[in-house]
Amino acid sequence: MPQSDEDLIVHVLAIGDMNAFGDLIERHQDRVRRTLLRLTAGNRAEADDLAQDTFIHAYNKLTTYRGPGSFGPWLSRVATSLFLQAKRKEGTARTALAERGSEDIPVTRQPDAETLDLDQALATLNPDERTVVVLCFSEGMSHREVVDVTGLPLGTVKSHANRGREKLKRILGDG
Amino acid sequence: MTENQNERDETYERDSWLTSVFAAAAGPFVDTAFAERILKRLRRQERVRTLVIFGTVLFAAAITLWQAAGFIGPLPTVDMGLLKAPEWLANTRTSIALAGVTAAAFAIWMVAEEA
Repeated sequence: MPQSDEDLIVHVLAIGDMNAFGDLIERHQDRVRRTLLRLTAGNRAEADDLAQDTFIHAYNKLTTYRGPGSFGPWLSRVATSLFLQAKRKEGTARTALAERGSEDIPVTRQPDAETLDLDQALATLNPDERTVVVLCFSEGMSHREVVDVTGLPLGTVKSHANRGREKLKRILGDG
Repeated sequence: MTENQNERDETYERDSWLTSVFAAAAGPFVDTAFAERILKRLRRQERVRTLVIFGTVLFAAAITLWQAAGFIGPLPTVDMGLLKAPEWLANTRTSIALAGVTAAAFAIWMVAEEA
């Protein structure tokens, strides 16, 4: 009989059972990697790096997890937080470089043959808009849950969701 | 039904098309090597953490043994205001050595956290 997430977490916390944590990774990697792939607009390398960091962070902060039955959404929150932190660091670095007079700062983006139209459309949104759209329409979070994860004001979340959705519909063509 | 759930359901209803676009683009990510890579990093992190703890215990044991052997005296205390510190801790050379060991342990710990 398959063990629940909570059973596996108890194993990890009680005896440091790496295999139990491996089972948790196997079980939730799809959701985490898919969310991060959308957040990074199809940058598979960046998404996988962040996904690894998400699980490492989750392992180190497992004692702060408050279940039951919400390990997947908790991981999504961790992933989103790490993505936003990475974007903020990237933004600070880009500002610092720009202040030093760099003319053209390249954006690291690996070409990916499997990039979907959706990822190309998501890439046209700014990081905050993209985050809100992915959390609302891919993760199924409510606006208030997005506020909790991102720290953005509710009004901003709603406007990002509406504006982002309209942009995507325009680009992808609403069926 | 919670307020969040109500709001989420309204969102789904309003944007079923966009939700279905995301669902259609959600390719499966099942990759056993992915979990192995993470577990490898975690095992390395645990090894370094154990090493730091073991090193600290070893250092404390060495200090105790040196003390027992009479190399560093019976550890009298000196008045440092609020704290009563052992005299050998107030000795400059020992303090520098202790600071160095602590810094090295901290650096190893930081590297482990980053790894």
